[in-house]
Amino acid sequence: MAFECEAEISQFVTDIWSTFLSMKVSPTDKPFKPKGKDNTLAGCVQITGEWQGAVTLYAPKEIGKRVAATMYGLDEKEVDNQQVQDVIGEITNILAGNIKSLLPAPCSISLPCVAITDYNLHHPGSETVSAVNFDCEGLSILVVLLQEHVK
Amino acid sequence: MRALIIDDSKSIRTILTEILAGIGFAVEEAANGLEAMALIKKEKVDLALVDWNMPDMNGCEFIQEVRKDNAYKNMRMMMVTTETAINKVAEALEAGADEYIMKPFTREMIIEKLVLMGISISSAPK
Amino acid sequence: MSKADRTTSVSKQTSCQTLTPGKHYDKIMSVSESDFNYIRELVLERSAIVLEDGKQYLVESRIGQVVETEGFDTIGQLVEALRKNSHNGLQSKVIEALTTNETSFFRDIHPFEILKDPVLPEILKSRENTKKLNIWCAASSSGQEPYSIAMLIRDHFPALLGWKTHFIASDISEKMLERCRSGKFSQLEVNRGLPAAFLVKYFEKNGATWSIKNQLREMIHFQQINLSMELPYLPKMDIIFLRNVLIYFDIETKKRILNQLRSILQPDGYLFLGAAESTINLDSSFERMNYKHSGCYRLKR
Repeated sequence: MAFECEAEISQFVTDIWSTFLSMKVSPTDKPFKPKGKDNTLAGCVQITGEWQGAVTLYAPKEIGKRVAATMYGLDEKEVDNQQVQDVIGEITNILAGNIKSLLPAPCSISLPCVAITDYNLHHPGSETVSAVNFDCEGLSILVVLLQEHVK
Repeated sequence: MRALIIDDSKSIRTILTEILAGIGFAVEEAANGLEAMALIKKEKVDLALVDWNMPDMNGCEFIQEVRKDNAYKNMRMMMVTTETAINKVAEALEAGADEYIMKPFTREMIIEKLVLMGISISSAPK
Repeated sequence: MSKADRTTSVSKQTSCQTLTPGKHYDKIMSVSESDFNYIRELVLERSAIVLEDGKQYLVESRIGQVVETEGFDTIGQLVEALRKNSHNGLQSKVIEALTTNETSFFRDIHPFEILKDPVLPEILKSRENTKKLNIWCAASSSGQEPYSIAMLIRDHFPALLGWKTHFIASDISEKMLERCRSGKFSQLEVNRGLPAAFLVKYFEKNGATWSIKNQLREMIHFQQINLSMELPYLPKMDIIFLRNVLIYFDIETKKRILNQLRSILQPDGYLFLGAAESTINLDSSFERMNYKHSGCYRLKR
């Protein structure tokens, strides 16, 4: 069963950004463009149970730094990689927790993992069910919900 | 008043620490339930904010453990988690949590919940 | 990703902006430490809302507007006027500016505590013979206030459910009333001020939406009422909630509204205004009850 939840994902991401980070994001039709090589952070949380798949959030490092700076009350230049990865992981985690409420129960979510990538994380045996692009202060963010093929 | 923040994410701990320190708490941090158990044995903690999904000992297990021991009966505990299903909220309360808040949260939400838990908030930060 | 870091003890204080941003005005005003502390104490005392360090920017952006509309040049001048005279409505405007859009369940908590004890037990006793109870929430906005009262009644006074009860929630906006009637709330909304035990007991979740259970929705009759006009027929009320509403009206309208409320409030009924609001200089027939920050009034005997 494929199902679409672009509207819900848009709402979740907007809520997380506005309440938690006091930053504005808005959904956009502009496709995600990785800015240079190895400049994209990918946060990923696996969903297992009645529904199997993953939530992946792609964001340029600049966004990670900006968000980490807000959270840690630091200057962007002061934040380190670990803080950036932690923030992206936690945002993906919160997002996955929100998305889980749309999926058939029971499901559980994994702890988040974060990678620096060229942008396209490969998930063998999965297909994209929803993908939403966001604009955050002129930079782009992509959220993808993947579902495992039913065997 | 001493608070303990238990979350495997440093970002969340930082944000919660700021909120609690801002209203006069002395704040300790732990990255999972086991660390937190060790910590509360050493020092008296009045309030614990507890994440659910963590490696080693998860938040719900931690709360259950704490509630088994009468020595901690005055400790207030609030779940702060990405789990948003009603049965999860019920499960946490059953385990002994006093309150429950879903991520994402704001400073106001945390403070409103503390008020519900009967914690008096001083406006003057220490 | 992140390994469990070492436990650290932290007591540092930095600013962190995790709240709904207020409107920003052209004139950027700065607030001195002593003025900030004064406003902070005032807001805490009158509305039970805490402004911590780091919220200076909130005071600056939101009070800036009051400074302009009230004809002051700086926040300092405004605070000076506040210190001199606490009953000229300026206080209320400042508090309203800082707390507006702060819609939560059991907002300010005190009025609901007073409702639980002694107001409702007292009414339960005095109406034992007629078993009639009428409640009116006069500006229900998105519904948190009437539903908070409904949950409180269901949880603590189940005996009242067998009574003949009129529970009216009104708003000027039909759109808001539609929202209220639907009883649907977002996760962000149920995260605010709602005891987790009530969330479990009185809500259902469908997808990302939290819906208040029918048994509570059915307790309340939602009706459009414009307070500044002549009121429609309403039964005599035992309890009226009119919190943080008067502030929006001019003095003449305030007087007219209070006058109308007086005529539909039972002689031993209760009126709840916002903690920062007052009937002083508006209507001398009300007296403020000596309950902590609850804004609870009653007709003078």
